[in-house]
Amino acid sequence: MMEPDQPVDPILSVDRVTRRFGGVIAVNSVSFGIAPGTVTGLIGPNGSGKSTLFRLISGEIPTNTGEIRLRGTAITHKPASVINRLGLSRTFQLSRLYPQMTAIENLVAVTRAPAREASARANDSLAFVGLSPVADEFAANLSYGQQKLLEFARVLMNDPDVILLDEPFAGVNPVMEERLCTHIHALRERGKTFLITDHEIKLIMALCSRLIVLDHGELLADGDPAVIRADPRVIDAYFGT
Amino acid sequence: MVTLVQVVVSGLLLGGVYALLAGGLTLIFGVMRVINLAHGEFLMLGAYASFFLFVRLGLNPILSLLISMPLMFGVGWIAQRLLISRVVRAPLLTSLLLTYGVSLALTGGAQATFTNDFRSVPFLSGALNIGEVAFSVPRLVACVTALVLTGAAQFFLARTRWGKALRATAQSADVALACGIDIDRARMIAFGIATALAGAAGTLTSFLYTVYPEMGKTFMLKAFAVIVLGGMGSFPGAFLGALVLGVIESTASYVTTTQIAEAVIYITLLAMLLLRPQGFFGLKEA
Repeated sequence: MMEPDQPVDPILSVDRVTRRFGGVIAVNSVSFGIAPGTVTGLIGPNGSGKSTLFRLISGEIPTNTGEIRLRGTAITHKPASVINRLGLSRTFQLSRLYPQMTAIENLVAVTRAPAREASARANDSLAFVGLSPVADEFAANLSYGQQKLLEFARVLMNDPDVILLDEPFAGVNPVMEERLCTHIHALRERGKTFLITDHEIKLIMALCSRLIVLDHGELLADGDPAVIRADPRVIDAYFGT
Repeated sequence: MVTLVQVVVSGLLLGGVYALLAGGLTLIFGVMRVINLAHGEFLMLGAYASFFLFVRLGLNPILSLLISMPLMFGVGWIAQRLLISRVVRAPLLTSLLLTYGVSLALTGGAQATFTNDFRSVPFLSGALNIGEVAFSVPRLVACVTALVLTGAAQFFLARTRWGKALRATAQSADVALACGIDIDRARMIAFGIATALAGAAGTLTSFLYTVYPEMGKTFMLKAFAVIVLGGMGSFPGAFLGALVLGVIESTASYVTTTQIAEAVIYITLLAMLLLRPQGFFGLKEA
């Protein structure tokens, strides 16, 4: 674990990133850095630009201006598959599994490991999230919570350093929520870095050591959850005046 | 009763070859959402490859698959890399126009190179009698070979890492990309395999039918009928659809005439589109 006051090079840095869709500025000159081995929350009201920022970081859409770096390497205009290979994986707001594949096939399909190792790794990942009993079940037949866990297991398949979780708790029952939180803590202990966006503010506050708040595509606040919670600008952004 | 069994057996034997051709077509559609109108011409190239290997070198057509399939895989890989990749994200009409252009170019090229003469590969003849049912030896060999190749393709898709990556790309290219799958390579592999399967179907048809530059179009229409029956993008569906189509064609030919049998195929196609547009195995559009 790192010393709290020792400055560390960010594993992920976002530097003055802007993305426009026609005349709408979805993300406007947003900058922040994420330290390795931390869990950071990215919050903001609907339409604040969280999902767009996730898509920019993971390479699904290109930035208009600004730069994104992963471990110091510019990934700004790299394809999503290359960014994934460099060590950044993500989940989606609505589970996007391969419904006509079994749970284990969903994992094996995305790994770059040799066949024998791929199966072993997939079994380990399923065991880690407690889905071994449904390994041979089609993804479409799993409960919503199980699908979320399976998607979580899928991001682990290529052993990424940075994991982006897009609304992991949406539509998930409290038991699954707790299980997910346990997995996130366990992985953070292993040195994984998380950037999580969700509307479950209580959970995010409890889970994250730092919060970044977006509003109308701009960075509104960045800091300790306790400080953010009391920030009148954040309260105003969420509840209006 | 024996006659009916004979007709069904003939249809199933024919269906095996259709499955090989349609399997490739449906694989391309599944992975790329591209309807490859040049697929029949790849069959034609495979047929000519086997014809010349047989005539010039005396090579057994089944053994010639060892040469023609890797060659056709390479043709497909290059076609995907140089041409199809440019229209994968374009509207469907763009890829239809491009592949139709490729189809015309290949047919024209074959006419200029090989002339319009009808050729044949005099390989195998006769029938194998089991009880009172006669199995045409060429059709039996073609069907067994087609089943082996279709099974191998299905094994590749179901069991190998790249096969799973292809299926992942077929189900959601965006997610596959975000999960680190090199979807460009997956598409080249898919197109290469599909072209190799079409070439193999060409080899098998070369000793069942005549070989000529426009032969691809006839088989292409049947391949479309097969994948509509089976469900666009479904490999197992294409297999079942091919067997059903083979039996329908064979039965209609027996009951009526070969010409009317062609019409029956397309009436079946229309009925399927009206009653169950997603086919046997295709997913219903949301």
